[in-house]
Amino acid sequence: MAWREWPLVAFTLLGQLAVGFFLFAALPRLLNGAWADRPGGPVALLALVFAAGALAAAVSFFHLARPWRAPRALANLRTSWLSREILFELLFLAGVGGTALLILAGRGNGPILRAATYASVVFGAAYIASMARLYMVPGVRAWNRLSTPAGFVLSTALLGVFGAAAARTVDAGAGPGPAGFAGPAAALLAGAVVVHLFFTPGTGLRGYRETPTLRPRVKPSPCFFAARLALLAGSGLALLPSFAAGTNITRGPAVMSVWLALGLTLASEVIGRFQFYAWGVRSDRRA
Amino acid sequence: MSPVRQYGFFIDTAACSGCKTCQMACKDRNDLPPGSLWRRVYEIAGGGWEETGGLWTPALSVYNVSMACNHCENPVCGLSCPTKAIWKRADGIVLIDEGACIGCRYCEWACPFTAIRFDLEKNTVSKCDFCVDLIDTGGTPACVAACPQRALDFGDIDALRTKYGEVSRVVPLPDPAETRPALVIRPHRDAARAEERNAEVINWEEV
Repeated sequence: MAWREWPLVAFTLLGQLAVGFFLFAALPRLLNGAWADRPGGPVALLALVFAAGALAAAVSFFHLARPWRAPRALANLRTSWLSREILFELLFLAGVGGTALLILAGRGNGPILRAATYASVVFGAAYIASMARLYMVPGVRAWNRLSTPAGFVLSTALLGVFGAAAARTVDAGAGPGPAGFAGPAAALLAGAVVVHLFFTPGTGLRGYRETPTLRPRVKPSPCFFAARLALLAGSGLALLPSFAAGTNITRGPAVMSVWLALGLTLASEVIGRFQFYAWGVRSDRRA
Repeated sequence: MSPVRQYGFFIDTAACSGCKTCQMACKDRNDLPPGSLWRRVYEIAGGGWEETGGLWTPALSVYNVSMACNHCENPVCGLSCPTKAIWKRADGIVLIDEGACIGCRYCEWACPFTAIRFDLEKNTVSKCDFCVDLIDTGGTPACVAACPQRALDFGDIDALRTKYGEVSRVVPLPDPAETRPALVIRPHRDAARAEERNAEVINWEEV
């Protein structure tokens, strides 16, 4: 496990949480326009998105050896996916922040607000896409596979769906939860299980043959592989009361079900991400 | 004399004894801190016993590969670097501008030859610079000059290919297609069956 890469684990997961929460919690609320007399609802959601994204950005500084030079990281937009990721991250945060400010300024559901909303969607998607793409480098074969973007998109969707449901359980004034939340959540969990079970390099059932490399060999941990699988399965089981609750997840056992599923999913994502970074073992293992 | 288009290295793995003089010469010349190596000598080994007509004989692939930065024609390290700290000179030598490096170490992951290493004392990445100060004054890189087996050579990659051939890969080097390393290799005879004998690096602690 690559414990030293904890800033990048935190950065990627918080960034995916921010984009996923925006897409599944804030965006539906903004698009349906029914919040005109209660603008505090979407503003609060946008504030949470902005906070998660800003925290991601702040944590990322810890992985730099010279963080005071961080602004230089936008210098190579022409070829560097890392530069592009940072640009789209900043644009996404600007879009989300701008949308919230427009609502607070009383702009209602007009064309400018819609433009800011759609721009945030585009920048958020580009942020996740460039985040996944930058890891597809020739130096780490285990990352240079379709399972990397698939895993990142699934993480974004999982954290977003569960985060949105959790937010709905505390916003009693917004009415019952999203119709059929448990079904899509279960489907996403199933997708995550399939990707993890079959395509995890080294321990997945599909098998993985390391191509010739000058990078030190990685011995994937079967314990953490099993732990992640167990957490994903546990999250699925935790969803059962939500199935029973139907559309109303704001009361009764469904509330704990949602939060438990969110916690287990987050834990599985943390483990999975550390396992992911373990493949990028540094040649100089002291540094 | 026409200017050099692309500087490159030649490694004669058939002659390399694994003495690591090249490694030490580089380390000495560049005053590298402990644990930092710009040139590494990989010891490759694999195989076992083979039965032929009732007779068991050793079937081994054992050889050494001295590897530094290959100053690739398509340097993914430079393409990946977010600050443009890694750049390529007109003569093909790839250099790192330590003043621009933010220490994100993304290039370490990008390079398939693991040529880029993190310098704990400078807090930036570093790698073989082809002894540019010697090259610019008509000199020879320290590793090439130091090799007692004369297993290393340098020069314009086109001239090296004309002189030594086109081979640029032996096990366990990665596929050269993506980065196009400026490298020519004379393979050891054992390298021919290295893949079927599952030959791999056996001295990870040293590189």
